[in-house]
Amino acid sequence: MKLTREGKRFLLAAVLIAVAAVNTGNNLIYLILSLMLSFIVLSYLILRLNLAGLVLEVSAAGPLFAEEQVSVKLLVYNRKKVPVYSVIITASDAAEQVYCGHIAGHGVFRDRMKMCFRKRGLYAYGDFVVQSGFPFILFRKSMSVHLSGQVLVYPKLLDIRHMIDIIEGRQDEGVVAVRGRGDEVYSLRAFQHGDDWRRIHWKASARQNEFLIREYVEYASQQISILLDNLLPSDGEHFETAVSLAASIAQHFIERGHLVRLIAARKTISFGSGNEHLLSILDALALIAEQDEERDVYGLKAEGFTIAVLKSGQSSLRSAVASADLAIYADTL
Amino acid sequence: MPILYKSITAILALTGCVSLLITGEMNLLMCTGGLSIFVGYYRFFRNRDQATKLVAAILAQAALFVFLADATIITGDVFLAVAHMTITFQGIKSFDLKEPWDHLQVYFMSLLQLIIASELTRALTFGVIFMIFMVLLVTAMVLSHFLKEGTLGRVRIRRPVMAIVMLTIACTAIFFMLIPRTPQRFIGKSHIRGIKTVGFSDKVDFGSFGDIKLDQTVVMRIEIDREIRPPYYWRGIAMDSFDGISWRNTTKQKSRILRTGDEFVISPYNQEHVVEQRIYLEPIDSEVIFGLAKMTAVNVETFSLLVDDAMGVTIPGKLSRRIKYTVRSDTTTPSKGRREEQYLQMPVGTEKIISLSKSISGEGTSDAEKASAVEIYLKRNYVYSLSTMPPPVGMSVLEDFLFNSKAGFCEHYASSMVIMLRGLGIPSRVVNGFYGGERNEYGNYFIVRQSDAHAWVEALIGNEWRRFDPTPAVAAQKPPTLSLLLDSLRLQWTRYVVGFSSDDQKEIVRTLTSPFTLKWLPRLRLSGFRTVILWSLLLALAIWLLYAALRKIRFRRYSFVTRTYLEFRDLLRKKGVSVTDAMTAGDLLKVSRKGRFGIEAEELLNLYESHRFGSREMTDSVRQRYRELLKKLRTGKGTE
Repeated sequence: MKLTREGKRFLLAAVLIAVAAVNTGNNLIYLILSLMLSFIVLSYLILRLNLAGLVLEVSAAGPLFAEEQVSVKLLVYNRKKVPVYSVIITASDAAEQVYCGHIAGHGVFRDRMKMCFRKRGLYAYGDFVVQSGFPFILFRKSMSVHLSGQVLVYPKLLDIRHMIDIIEGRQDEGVVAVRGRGDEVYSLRAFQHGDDWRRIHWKASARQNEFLIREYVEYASQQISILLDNLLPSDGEHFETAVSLAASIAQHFIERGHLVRLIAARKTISFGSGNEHLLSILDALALIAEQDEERDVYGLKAEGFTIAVLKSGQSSLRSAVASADLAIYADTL
Repeated sequence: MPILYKSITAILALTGCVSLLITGEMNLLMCTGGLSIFVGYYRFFRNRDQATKLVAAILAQAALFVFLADATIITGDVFLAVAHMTITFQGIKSFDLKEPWDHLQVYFMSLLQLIIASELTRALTFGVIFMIFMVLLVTAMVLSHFLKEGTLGRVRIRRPVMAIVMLTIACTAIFFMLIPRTPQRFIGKSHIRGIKTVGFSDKVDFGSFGDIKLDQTVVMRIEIDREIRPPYYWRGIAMDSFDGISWRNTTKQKSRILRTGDEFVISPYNQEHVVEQRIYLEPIDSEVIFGLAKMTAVNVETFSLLVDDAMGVTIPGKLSRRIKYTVRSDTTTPSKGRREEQYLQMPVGTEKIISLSKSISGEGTSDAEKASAVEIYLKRNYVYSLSTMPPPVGMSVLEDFLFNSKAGFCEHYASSMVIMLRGLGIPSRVVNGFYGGERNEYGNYFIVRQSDAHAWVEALIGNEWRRFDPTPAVAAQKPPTLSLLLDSLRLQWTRYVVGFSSDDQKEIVRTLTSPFTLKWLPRLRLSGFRTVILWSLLLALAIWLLYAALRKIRFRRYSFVTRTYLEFRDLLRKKGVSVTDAMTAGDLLKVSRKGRFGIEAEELLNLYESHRFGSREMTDSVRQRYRELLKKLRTGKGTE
């Protein structure tokens, strides 16, 4: 609760009137003083009441990425019986404020807000603020609004086109055909318990008089392992770049149908592809923090093409670079 | 800018100026600058260009020069000069309304004008203006908010404004009742001009009552606790010495009465025999306390009362202020008295009057019969008239009245009777006060006006002062109903607003707490030093409550865990442990181990670290555990 310029002068006037009232004992001055005190008290109480019981719901049409201007949908619920007047909804990352003139008791206010989240992560209580000076202009109060649910902001996506050629050039060197989930048939083998019935090659099975199933070819180069350096000591700025880089690489390759996995201290997302898998990687990257890893997760069996995304040349993970196909240092970008 | 906002600013400016004008104390010449308000606001409504800062500054400087001239030469009163200056400033400001802050300046100026007006008048009209001001100010302040947000006109505000106005009225009333009152003015003098009255000072010129008998100004309003039969003589001051031109009160001995409990007791009384009168006395230029004879006790907010030998009661240093007081009078028992020379004093040249009185009273009758005979003679043989002529040269006013004009008003009758009684050797005196008054059915009280001023006679019959009124009765005119209704409102205004006192506050508290009153508790009588002690205690309590509230507000922004941790730090400090701001939880653990605060302190700090810095989830049971640990540490019942 802050006193405005007008509020400070009003308060000073009230003090002077109080002195006059005490000095004169004049009840009419006491009456004026009472009026002024009422203004101050009501201003405080109504302001508190006005801002209480507000719940905000923020939603967006698609995924939200840091440093990307988006228009989010705001729903402000007034849980009280009494209406709410003249409230401004804002956030530290908001490009503009949203003014809400009136919300009826138990009513809802809808609007859109242009936002540009500066950081990846989970936005919840404390990140969105409602402020008001209603009913008068004596006080102004800001308070964090209860957020119904949370808003997850993914890391900023970087332009990695200049790296893609390098990555894809290195990738072609190690293409090996292996069994997997490709489209081309690799071989036939006897049916085993647990195999998918749909993969039975009926003609061959009839000829051999036993069930044979198809095995498909898969190229090892389609498997991308992203090794993200999130080991302590902390290096905030380069770590954020590394995370953004990892997210950008993951998005690029998943969109091209590759199997991508993410390996980081205390966080591993196994191979997968498709939009859902991309979102799970982005979810992990949105919340990933620098860790003091005890177990050597980076020692996982190397599979596919491995890209190590390191914070800098001094990274604690530089030992893993040897086993990686490619190492990218965030501090060089 | 919406027309509503403009209109409210204009009306508020006018309200402030009108509040000053209704006091009747303004010098109209000095208020002429205020007429520019109409031009200024006309231009404002027409969206004409506003005055530049330079022009406004020059005009303000000019107004300051006029103020200096006003304060030193024209009115010679700084207070009135300030009032005139505010009106001029309102005029100047009406040409300089560019920003929302300019409008607020107009509101503040109006508020200042209202404060000045409150020192110049106590009239009901002020109350009406205050109500208008309050409603307008609330509306203006709400509009200002929307104007500042840049959303004025986008939101419908009629309902919230109405609700806030209601709340403001209620809240103002509550504050008005709760704020402690000071009984006396400390610095400066009141600017309320008292009602000019005559007859209630130690010297009264003969015939002066004639001037005020036509004045309908209300002097006091009186409520009586029980129905008593008329006539009602509101006794004021008694006069004993007459020199043919003026009456004087030569009583030298005045007793100072100090408060006994809630009231000043003049003489012991029986509660069943007294009539209680609650009197709201307008500011008159006299220190006299009025009431039915004989006054036995007075309850009034003052430090002391003076009572003279003739039972005249005065408040020393009352000045011209409106007061409310309660008088208890024993109307069944006359005042006792003894024969004193001063009540037999005669002016020169009264032989003819003495012989007239002797011829009226006859020989061999008692003092009471003689006095009655004189009273009846005067009542039957003389005409009541306010239009009297000065006596012929060489003739006294009383001789002229008794033998020549045979027409006069109460002063003529009372003075003649006193001189006639004194001529018969009966000690007597003239008493000035008020007679009767109109009973207002709308409020059940008496309205006593200047025109009710009256003089009558008290004669010592035996050892008792008996009242005689030789003035013939005059038919009174009944005032119109509207006038009575308005006067009833005025009484409410005087009673509950202007005259609201600490006694009323005590009464409210008493009423509110009456269901919880413990009869065995001694009743607290607040006066003098006890009041000072009580206020000191209340002030200390208020400071403590404020401190506690601020502390709670400070703490509330922290989470439960942090709050508990801070309480623990405070607790250690109270237990004598030196805790600095730089000390961490680990440091506290070490000192609490040294200080043998037991395993509770260790557990609390471990819990704190796990919840504050770890990811351990907080549950109700853990919360309860925090409280238990803190309680054990506070009470010292922990394990050492």
